Amino acid sequence: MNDEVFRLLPEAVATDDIVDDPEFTEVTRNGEVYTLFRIVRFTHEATDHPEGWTHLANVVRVRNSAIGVALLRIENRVIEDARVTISNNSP
Amino acid sequence: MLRIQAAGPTAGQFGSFVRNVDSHTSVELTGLSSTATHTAEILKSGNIDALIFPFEWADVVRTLEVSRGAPKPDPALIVVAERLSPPILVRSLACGFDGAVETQGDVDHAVQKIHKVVAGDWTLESEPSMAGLDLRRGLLARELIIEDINDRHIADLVGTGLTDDDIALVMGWSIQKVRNRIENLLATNELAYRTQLAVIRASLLKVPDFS
Repeated sequence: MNDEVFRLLPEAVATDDIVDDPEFTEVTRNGEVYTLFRIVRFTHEATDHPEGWTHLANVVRVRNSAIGVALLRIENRVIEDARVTISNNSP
Repeated sequence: MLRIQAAGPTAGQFGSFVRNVDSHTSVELTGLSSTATHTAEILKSGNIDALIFPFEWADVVRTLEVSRGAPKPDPALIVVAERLSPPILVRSLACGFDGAVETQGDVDHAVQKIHKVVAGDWTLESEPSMAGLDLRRGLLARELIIEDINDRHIADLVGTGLTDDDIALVMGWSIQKVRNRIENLLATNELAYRTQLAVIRASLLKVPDFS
């Protein structure tokens, strides 16, 4: 983790402190596959990330359970873009 | 004795195939329908084991399946093509066919295959070339499940070919809300890909009423 870009958030930060809706859809495979996730906890905040990501969060996949980590771009409390890395398919 | 109804043109390769099937000892040909309306009536009568169609009538089968609204066909729907290639099998499966036979080659072999499809021992999904594709039988042959007017708008806009960004603009929603709605539509309708939603929504607009 690049400490110059990512800052660890206190555990006390609640999801609704940062976004209005904790559920978001990641779009993959050339815009064809839609996968719904829910944010469990924001872990890091990013500053001046070269790819525009603003936050890092622990997430769960809503259908076909799995857990993972999401890079998020949040603007005005709305998740505009997401890239999820699944770390476990059966939490 | 297998009771088979044919639907399609009486002339040409399909007509010739039907006559060959009719001459087979294990088959009773109940007739040959040359219009979609007559075929729909035969389908509703439920007095046959299989309906065979030329591949060119794939869209007729799709619309028949939509109008019938049955998840599992009875009789079996079987596509007939000169040669079965993977694109023909994919299209046939999506339109709601259960099986497929070739006109070229031995008619005994084709009739045996029809018997297997009727008995449920062979399906299009079991074809090796279908392995690994996220395709289900009748994908294009059903109504979309739409929960409310906003879902209908989203399906219409996806079917119109708009991007998620464009749809967000039209609906006055965030991109996140649009994507969550599309994801819900895909999940509700058991669709794997956004394009499937677009194609189904667009194609259903042309479905004639067979009732």
